[in-house]
Amino acid sequence: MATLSLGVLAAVTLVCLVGPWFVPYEADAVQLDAIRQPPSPAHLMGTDDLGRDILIRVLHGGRFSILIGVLAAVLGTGVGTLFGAVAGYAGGHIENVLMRITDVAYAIPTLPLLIVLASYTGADPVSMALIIGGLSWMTTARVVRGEVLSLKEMAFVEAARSLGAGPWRILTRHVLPNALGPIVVGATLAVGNAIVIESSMSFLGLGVQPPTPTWGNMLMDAQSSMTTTPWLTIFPGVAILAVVLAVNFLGDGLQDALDPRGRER
Amino acid sequence: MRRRDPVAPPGGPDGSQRGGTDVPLLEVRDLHTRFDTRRGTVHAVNGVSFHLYEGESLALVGESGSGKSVSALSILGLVPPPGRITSGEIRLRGEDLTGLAPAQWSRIRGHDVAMIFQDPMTSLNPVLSVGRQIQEVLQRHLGMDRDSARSETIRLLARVGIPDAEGRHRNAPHTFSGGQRQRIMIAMALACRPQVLIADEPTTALDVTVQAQIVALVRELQGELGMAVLWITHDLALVAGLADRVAVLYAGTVVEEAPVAELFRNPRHPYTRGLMGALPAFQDEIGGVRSMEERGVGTAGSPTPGHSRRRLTAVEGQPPTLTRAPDFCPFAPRCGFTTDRCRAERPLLHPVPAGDPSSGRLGIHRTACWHQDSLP
Repeated sequence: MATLSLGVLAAVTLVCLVGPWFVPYEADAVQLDAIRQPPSPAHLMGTDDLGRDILIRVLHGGRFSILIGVLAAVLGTGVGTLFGAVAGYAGGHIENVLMRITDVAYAIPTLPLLIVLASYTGADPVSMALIIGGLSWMTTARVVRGEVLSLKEMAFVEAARSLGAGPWRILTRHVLPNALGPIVVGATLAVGNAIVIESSMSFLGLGVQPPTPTWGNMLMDAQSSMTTTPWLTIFPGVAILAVVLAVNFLGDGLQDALDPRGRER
Repeated sequence: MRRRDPVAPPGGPDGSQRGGTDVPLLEVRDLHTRFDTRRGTVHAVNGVSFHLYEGESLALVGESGSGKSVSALSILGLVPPPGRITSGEIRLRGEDLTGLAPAQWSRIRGHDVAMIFQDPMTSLNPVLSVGRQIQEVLQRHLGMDRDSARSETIRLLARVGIPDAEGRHRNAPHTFSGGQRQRIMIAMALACRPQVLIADEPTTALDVTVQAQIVALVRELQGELGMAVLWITHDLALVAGLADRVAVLYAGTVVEEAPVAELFRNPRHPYTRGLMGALPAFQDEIGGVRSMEERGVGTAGSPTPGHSRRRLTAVEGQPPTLTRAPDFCPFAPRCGFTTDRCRAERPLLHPVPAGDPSSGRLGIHRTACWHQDSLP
């Protein structure tokens, strides 16, 4: 399942990256003589209200959606891991300060803040990714702190210490690798989450602005005509579904693969 | 593990013959380690002193909470917070370690002093291959490059008896058995040829047959590398086969210290006697140690004639809680010989005059009891 998911992800990413060169349309090329066409050999996924080719828009949109998902997940997981690991390992006042910051960040309602921030920074894909990532690290921080708290009491940590390993080495070499399972799973979930958040933002008209396509804003454009021109909804929707699902399965698989006790199976 | 012949320490270095300097390799002097908790201070170690010469093995014996493990961790500077060393000296080749900065401690750990632990099942990092874990120690302390560290790792693994070390050093810890993992821990601890090895009950988690192999391996390597070994154990019977000398710990202090044969022949502290009375079928083997009832310690039923049917005697009562430093004999509440002096003044280690005449530095027999001369 995980291998299949990895294949699906790789294929989707590859197609999104190189696919546009093989489609004879521009993403924002308006063709008023070919609006709302159902899928056909000329337009494999049909066209929208402005006669734009859906295939090329799905491919372009995929670039941005995947970019946002991965970037936001990497950022959120990185910040969260750093916070959680330092807090859990250092303990004492450092832990208190870091975890209270986390609590405060958790307590702020994400969506309004996203909206405010997006209106300041503008809604290009990279800003969106930074904002989403910057607001989604708290869960990782808590999970990692919990893992580190239990791992740092393990006998092998004491053994490593007795052999002269310093605190930073113990944290990076002995503690974090053992917490990699939950971290990676969290990261994969965050990819799907970021894609969905971006879609919601676009749905509210606050995400990446048209004409730049993302899967989210394509869905938003299509909502009013879901019954009459379903292909406008189906293709980006299926793309989101496939990627988010594949990412989650991959997370599961990675967790198994990262646990050495499971490796021989 | 029980040895048939507990009197003679089998093989190994005979400390009395080892010449050279008379400065001990490791000397712990009047060590105090405390834990400041919310519910008061726990005085885990209260003035422990012992010394260890090159190539020698000393056993620290005591029950849970006697301070033996905390003493060992103190030597490595690894007392877990909120514990800290409050006074005393730990001298390695004459140099006091207690004032060292954390980074300096790190350089000594694993390089000059190494430790093996109770539970080999959890003492190895489960996500790193065993080879990597040993290699890291070599690279860190000896500055080896990756390739020479790898070949040295394979040599070490083969030396401690891991079959097919060449092929298996890449395997994760869970693919090894408990005994093999303890062997790997030993290889790791000895990678840098430390002068002192602290063995904190390394055999408790293992099968009896494997225990014997591990002990034999450590003794063999001790002879090979000429290192000193500090055995930490609660098992007095095991000590006979391990150590040249024994220090018995009670409530964070050394109550008796003697060469192993001397201790079993002539225990002078009531607590030591209590421990021996709690050992099955022991007094006959060492000859002349009578059961506790005859000594008037303990209150268990009447003695049965014949050693094989002797009743085991427990040491009555509980060890003291160490929330205040004892200013009297810590064993007084459980002892059968207690007098007013025991409850008022703390006895210090004192040479036993009738000690082993073979003497030498191994021969010193000391005990902390006001009544050491008048015990029956």
